[in-house]
Amino acid sequence: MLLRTSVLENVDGSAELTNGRTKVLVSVSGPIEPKIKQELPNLASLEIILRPSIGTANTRENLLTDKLRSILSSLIIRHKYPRQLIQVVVQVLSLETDAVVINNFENTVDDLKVFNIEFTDIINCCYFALLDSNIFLYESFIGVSQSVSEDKSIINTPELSDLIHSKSHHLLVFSIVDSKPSKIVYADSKGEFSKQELFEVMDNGFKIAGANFTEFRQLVEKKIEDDFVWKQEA
Amino acid sequence: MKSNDISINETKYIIESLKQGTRLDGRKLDEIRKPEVVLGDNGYVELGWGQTKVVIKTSSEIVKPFEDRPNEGLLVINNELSPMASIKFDERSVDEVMINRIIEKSIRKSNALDLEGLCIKTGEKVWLIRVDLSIINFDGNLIDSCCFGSIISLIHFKLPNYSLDTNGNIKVYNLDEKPPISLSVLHIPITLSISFFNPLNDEENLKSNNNYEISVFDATMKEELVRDSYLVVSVNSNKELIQLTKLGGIPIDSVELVNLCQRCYAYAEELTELIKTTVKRKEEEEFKRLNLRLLKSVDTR
Amino acid sequence: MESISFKPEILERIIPDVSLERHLKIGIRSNQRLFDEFKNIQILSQKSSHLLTTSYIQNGNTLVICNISYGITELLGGETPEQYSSVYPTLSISRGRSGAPTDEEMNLSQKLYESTLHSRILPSNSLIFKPKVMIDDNLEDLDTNKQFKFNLFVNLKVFDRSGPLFDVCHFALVTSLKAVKLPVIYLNDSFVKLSIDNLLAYPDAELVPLRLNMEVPLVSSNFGLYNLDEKNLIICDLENESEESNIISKVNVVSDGKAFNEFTLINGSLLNITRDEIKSLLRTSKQRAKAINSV
Repeated sequence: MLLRTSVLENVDGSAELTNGRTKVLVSVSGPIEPKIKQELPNLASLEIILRPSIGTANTRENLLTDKLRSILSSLIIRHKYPRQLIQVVVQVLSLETDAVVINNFENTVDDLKVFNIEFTDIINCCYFALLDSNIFLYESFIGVSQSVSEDKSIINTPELSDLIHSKSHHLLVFSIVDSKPSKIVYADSKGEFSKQELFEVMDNGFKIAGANFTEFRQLVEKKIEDDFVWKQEA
Repeated sequence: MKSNDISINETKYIIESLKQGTRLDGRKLDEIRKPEVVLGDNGYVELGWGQTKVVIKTSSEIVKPFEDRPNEGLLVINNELSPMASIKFDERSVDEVMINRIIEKSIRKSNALDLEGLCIKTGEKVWLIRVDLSIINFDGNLIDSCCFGSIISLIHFKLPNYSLDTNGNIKVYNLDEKPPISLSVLHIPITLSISFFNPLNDEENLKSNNNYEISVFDATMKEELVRDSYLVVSVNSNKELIQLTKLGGIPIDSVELVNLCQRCYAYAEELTELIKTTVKRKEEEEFKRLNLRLLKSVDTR
Repeated sequence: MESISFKPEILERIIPDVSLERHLKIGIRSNQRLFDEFKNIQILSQKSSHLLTTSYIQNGNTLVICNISYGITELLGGETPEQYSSVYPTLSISRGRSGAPTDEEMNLSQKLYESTLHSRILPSNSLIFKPKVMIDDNLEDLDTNKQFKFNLFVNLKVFDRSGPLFDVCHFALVTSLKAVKLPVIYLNDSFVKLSIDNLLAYPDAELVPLRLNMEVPLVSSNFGLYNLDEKNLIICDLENESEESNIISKVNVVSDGKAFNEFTLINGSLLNITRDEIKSLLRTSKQRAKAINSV
């Protein structure tokens, strides 16, 4: 995973995350003046724009935006910014499905896209962009993706080929308190699975989230060290 | 919140310095920012034009052609401004329409891409080539950067190889099964915009015989906010003029137009050369990488 | 100063959050249902012809009309890589307005699309066919390598919306799919070109029921989690504005009574959700799926 923050000039916070063949750029502007129809009397309103790497946003992006909104609006301390707007723009730059050769059906690529392979990267990139913009958050958060293959083994951060051959796939977002995963903020499991498998995936996700977050924490520590220059000269 | 407005003081400052032949970033009046091009996977280009940053991606799909043009492929150029680039792009703006129209004119309508070469089976299947532009940071001159980015992306893009069997079924090959094919780009249009500033008052400009307008190549965001009019010229390295757009604003000396076009030709040659060397270097890198992979696979046998 | 008092219905309109909390505190819901009680769901009627399958589904006061029709596309190449297909849903909620679809309508149709695909109930090869040819009023096999595929279009119309709609729309879609029968497609004249424009559905041939990878219909159930006095209350099948907009921790489970096909959780109010709570949700949805399918 490769991360760069503060990459854009005209917004308050931004982050660019490259993970395998997925590359996502997120910008955050806020708090800014909302349009009248967006304004909420006691909370910040949240505007999320998601733009795919190829073509224009359609219903898939619309649903992704909706999921993202429900996740972010529970984590941002919205009552800190009443009558204001926080604008999050997600630009997917490249995606594994972009390079898939269309051979048979018109809908093949569409069907592969709804695995939402970029979802956890978007979530994680949003986290860094929000940190970069200094928007108040209740808790840190991290997204993990897993799939369960036919032989019932769990694959962490599956690639497209793993997902195609999987029995079920699971997206989880955990909130983080004191560097440890605390609550499940979001879960989306699809395919065929038993109760036991679901709990195994949740336990495993919990572990992965903890492990991955130590890496995130180092990135954040480094960022703070680089950004703030009040250190005493040696 | 970061603002996109400009104060009266700043406006005056910019014009005064232009009168003396200097610009805020130290460039000469007729000097353009040197584009930085990073080529990624097939058709993926990250372009830095000063602080203006654009990501361009070309992709392909198989579609049915239009009935009145059964043997022509399609070229779609898609560009939407988002508030990521600048807060002022919150709503669909005139800029967006303007940029799209000029890219259309300079690339699609100038036949830069050979569309007949994209036909797979007349009346049934053709390639649709789509260029998606994402403007991620704005510091003026979107037109030049978007046109430049689109054409590099088209040159850098390779179409997957395919074969047709006797029943008309298509088999499309993965990139490693059969080497992909470059698009046939017939010429390389380079678009340049020139901004005009009126150092004196409006009356002076219209009535007197003197033409004092200052012409500036490749304006930054601040210069664009101050300018009085602009001209967009697309040319290619064969010294051909492809399109010319000037939408009102202050009038300019018509003789000056020829001089400006001369300057554009020089830039067209420079930028065309840059495109060619960048793409060539990338191809050599790819070739080396593939060659090494081949050698490796021989080695393991 | 005199205090103003409101009727419960009015209080629910003007301060829904307070109304909800007061109801839950005394252990009732404004819609008179128990916490673990689901609205009744049933198929009112269902019929299918060679062009259309129509179902009328009732869920509480909500009525859903589900139409499944089909179109044909030609496959570009040879074999099929993916094993399962989906349907193309469009959905409209009657609210006395017209215009572009709302976000809710778009998101619901996309959810139904993804759900059908990932539940793997619709195998691709039950939709792929080779057309026949009409020779002297007889249907005969056509010698061709071209393959065609049915695309199922699902049109849902919702009347009297009173809460989240995914459950009832999913039920309407799944039960209607069970009833879909596909016609025989033929080329009307062996001399014309084999293309989609020349293919027809044969009305007199016997219809073939759509083959599904689903023994019993899948059932979707929704739950809300609400924190009251430091404890999480589980509320089944949310209804009314006050519950829908103020209970923002929600769970949706799709089950066939044995295993699960979908589990979505949105923890809007950042509750501590325990394993036992999730277990009980899963158990309830399993039981509900079994109960509905045994009717």
